[in-house]
Amino acid sequence: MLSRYFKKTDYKMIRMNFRKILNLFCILFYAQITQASIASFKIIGGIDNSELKAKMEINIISMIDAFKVAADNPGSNVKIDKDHITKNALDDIRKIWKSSAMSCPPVNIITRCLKTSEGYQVRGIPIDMLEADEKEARQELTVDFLPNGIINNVSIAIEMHRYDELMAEKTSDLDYARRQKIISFIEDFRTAYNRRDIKMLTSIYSDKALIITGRIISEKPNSDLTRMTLNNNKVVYIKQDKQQYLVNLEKVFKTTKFLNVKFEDIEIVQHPKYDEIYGVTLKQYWHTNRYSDEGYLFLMVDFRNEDNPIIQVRTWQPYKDKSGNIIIDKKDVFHIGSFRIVR
Amino acid sequence: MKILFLITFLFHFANVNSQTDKYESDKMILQSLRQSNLIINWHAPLCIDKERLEKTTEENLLRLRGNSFQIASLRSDLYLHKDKDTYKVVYGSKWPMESVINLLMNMVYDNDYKINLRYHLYGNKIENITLPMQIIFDVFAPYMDIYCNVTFINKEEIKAVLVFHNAKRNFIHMLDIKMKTSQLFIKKGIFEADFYTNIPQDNVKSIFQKNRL
Repeated sequence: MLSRYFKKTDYKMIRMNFRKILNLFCILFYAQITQASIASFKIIGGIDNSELKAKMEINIISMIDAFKVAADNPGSNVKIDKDHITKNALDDIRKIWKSSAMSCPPVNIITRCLKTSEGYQVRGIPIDMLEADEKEARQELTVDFLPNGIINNVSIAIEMHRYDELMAEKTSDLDYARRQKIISFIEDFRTAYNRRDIKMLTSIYSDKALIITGRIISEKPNSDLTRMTLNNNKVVYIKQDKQQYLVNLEKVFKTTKFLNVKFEDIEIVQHPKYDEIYGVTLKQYWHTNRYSDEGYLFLMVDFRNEDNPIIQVRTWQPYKDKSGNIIIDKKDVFHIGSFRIVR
Repeated sequence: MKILFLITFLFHFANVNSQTDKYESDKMILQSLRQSNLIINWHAPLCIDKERLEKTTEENLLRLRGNSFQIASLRSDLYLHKDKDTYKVVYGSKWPMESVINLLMNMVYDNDYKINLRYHLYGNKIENITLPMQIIFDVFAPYMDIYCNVTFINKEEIKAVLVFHNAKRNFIHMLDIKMKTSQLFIKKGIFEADFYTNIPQDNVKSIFQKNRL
């Protein structure tokens, strides 16, 4: 009897345990399915308060869950408890929902959190717009949080692909700002002459600057001069270093009462090999109480340090003589290809 | 009081460059920006010429075609969306690039961004100034045309060029702007800009001359 009783009890216990195991297995199986169909969300940086971080993660998961529930029940509204989201943010979601239902793909989202002036922000939460074309369906949400971790704003973030396309068209214009900085530098350079600012000019010219000045000759050139003939006019070119040039210039500044330097027809060209080297060609009008001339000025400007550009080469060639005859044609003016850069 | 202040400002800046050189003009602007602590919130009226209103590839997004200055992409366009029968200036994270353009075109009425200027003055001097971005518009926009070009935008960074052009005297002020994308659409977000002023344009023949090599 006893053995039979035990056997019966044993059988009942085995049946009960089997049911429990089956139930547990069903729960685990269901949990696995649920986990596979819903995204997970984790913040990995940008916030030190672990309690607040956990709250923000829970709030995002609640929002994603609510999206799924509403998307599975067409016509229903998105419902998220006010413990997770502000009324304004929920209204924003409902506005978006009017154009299309949203669903978060079943992915593991791991993101950084940004500190903002109003709290925190996470970006790049993938979302599928269920009413959109396949190509346009995948978007990204940006979510703002209040300092207490409650969702305060939800918006569709940047669609990067569209901007990549736009940017590709604009590559040629990226240099515009640089060119204007050069114009600004040239105006500073002109101003330095008019202000007789030797200190400024000393800082602008490279210590190894090559300075070439052309002169129309009326007498036989001596052996120190390099002689050239252009357009049947005789021009000599004097090569100076920075020190010599500035010493002579300072003498001119001291002995001149009135000085006015003007620039016209400024042209800028980038060196084909060295992106930071630019050639600037312009017409210079030099007027003093004792002397006036017009000439072509060529400057090779080194922009490697954008805050302190320096002149590596300065050449000046006469444009017209005193009688108004053209001395140098534009095509004969020094240009960026006239000099070899050795680094 | 505000109007008097504005008139003084405009008179002062309209005459910059007429008799002063770059050293003096830069210095005057620096002083005025430093002393400006009052936001006038000046904005040009939004004039919608329907002949200049163009559809974009984005649904609901319209471009109000402006003019270009010097290069095709430096423009004075605005971006709008139609809400029932009214046109609204686009500003929000749905259209970030268009929003930046509208912001730089001074069409965002509650601009509370700050701007850190690296002001490049005559003599290779650099002064750092931080001020409300709206002050830049209050000072220059009433008498100068605005053009902008967003040259780069991604998740991390936005780059743009903002140009104020004085058509009468043909000179520009230029801001070479950089901004972290995370600073956009947040309260008191911060722009960074290299700032160059009083750049003459009337003596410029070509800024993109072809190479003669």
